[in-house]
Amino acid sequence: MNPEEEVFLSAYLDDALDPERRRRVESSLESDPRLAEHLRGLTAVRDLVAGLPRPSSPTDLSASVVARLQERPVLLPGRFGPGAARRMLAVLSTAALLLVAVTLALVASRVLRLGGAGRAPVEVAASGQPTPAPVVAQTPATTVAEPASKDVVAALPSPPGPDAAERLGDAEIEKVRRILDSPSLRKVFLLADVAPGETSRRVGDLLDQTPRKYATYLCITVDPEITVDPKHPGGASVYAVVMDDQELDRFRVTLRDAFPGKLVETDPNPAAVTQLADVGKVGIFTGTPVADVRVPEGPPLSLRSEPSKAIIPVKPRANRSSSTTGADLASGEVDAELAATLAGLSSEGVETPSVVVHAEASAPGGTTHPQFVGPPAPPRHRRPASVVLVWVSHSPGSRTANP
Amino acid sequence: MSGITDDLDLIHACRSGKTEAYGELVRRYQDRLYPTVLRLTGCAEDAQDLLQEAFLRAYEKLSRFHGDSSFYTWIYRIAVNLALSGRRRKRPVVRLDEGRRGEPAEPPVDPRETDPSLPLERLERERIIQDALNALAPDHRAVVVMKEYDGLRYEEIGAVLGVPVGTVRSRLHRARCELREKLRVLIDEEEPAHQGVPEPT
Repeated sequence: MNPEEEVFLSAYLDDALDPERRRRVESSLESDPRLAEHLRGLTAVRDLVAGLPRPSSPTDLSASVVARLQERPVLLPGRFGPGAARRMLAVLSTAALLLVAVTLALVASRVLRLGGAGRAPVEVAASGQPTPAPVVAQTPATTVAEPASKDVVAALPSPPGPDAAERLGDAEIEKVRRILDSPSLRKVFLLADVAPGETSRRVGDLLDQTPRKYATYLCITVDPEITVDPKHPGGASVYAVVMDDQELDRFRVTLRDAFPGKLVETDPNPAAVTQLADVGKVGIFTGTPVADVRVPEGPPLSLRSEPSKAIIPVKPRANRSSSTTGADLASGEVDAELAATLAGLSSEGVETPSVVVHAEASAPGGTTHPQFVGPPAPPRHRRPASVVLVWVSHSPGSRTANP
Repeated sequence: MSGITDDLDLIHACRSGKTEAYGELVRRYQDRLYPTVLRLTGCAEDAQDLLQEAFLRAYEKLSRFHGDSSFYTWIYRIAVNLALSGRRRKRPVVRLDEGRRGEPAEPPVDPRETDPSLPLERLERERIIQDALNALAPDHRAVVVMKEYDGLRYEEIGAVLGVPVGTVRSRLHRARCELREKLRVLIDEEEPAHQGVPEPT
């Protein structure tokens, strides 16, 4: 039996082989004492692990779990009939992700006040690492879903005071998690950071310079020792951006121009994305709001037909007005939950995560080959906005992997 | 009324806003889940924290539970994947038994430290095995725990982790080989009990 086939020894031990394979393993065992000895070792391992005690939980968790749940109201789709869900979705679908972005801006402004301004990120989840701002993530709270803007404003983090830092971090990391968990996740642009940090910096610059309706974005840095996906070893910088369809189309072209011939589309893996908020360091940045782009008065302008060139460098605003909607990221969760409910009722109006755009940055002077590993984007319903990720892998060998 | 039906009743109650019903689900499954989480985390304190978080996560996602599997299967999957995500390794968490006023309570009790009926050798043995498990890569540890400790089938493990059966098979074999080296001392002690070609189970 060759080394490749030795894997079937374990399956033989578990009686998980088809009869033919089993006969071959038994024949090998009879003729190869070394193999029989190997199997005895595996059997002993199985028995040792199986024999470990099964203690009960030292503490009854029910009271603490229920107490945590009762600290904040939770909106569950089961509390609404299908009609109510549809009506709420109709009202919220346009507004929800707008609220996400606006609240991101509110959070950003608060965090930036805590940790500085400009492009220096403020970590809100540092996985135990020291952070510029003393913001420490805690056990996630339950889902908060307050569609009323007044309640949402009340749910925003309070200014830091004694013991406030941990609560602030807890609340914000929960919001980041909601964005990453959002069913609105539609696109992931993958890039391999061959030159250390260079691709990540370029992507950050592009996001800063590209006007968007929802200018605030996140940058999540995953340390090299943490592997979100085995196909992506060596860490990553992941940018999370909220875009509408037109902005997404333009951004795709922008990335293609910046990293020519390297764009690849694959399907997203929500499970891997969901982990990001928990294992990475999250920085919140404010890019260029589209409202800041001034169109000079005068004769009618001739608009560019090439949207990718519509990069207008505008100085980012440190703060955005909270009076726009005063909404919270949690409102995005309302939208998502209701969308999930609708998905269970009918197929109309709900779009599943579909296509991921995957690109690779070239090493200086190196040769690169475009890879289009995913199917072309299918026709889709138009919708107001979605969460888009730019995943810059720090491992050059992970170009075709699927986060 | 079957247990599964009971669970569904409780879940419906949760969806109507009765969080106390969720407490019953926690009571029902915490002891069954705890050993698995303990082996995955390797630490009683982390196991309790992770278990609490798994229940909270499950509640958040309760709208996505459609009853296609049992609630236990569902929460088991959440707990295992939460342990695999590694977030519990470094992230500080709220103490489990911290009162609403914030005073820290006594740390969780490790039964190994308090049960005088367990012979010392068994304790030492358990420690060696757990240390060997802890030294495995998380993906390998999860497969070993689910197969050897919880008795899941390859297909079930694959469903929990979202990987093909072939991946389960290869991970399990590699993990067993690694454990065999790490547990050589214990295996050699038991050598007389493992003479001859073992029969598959």
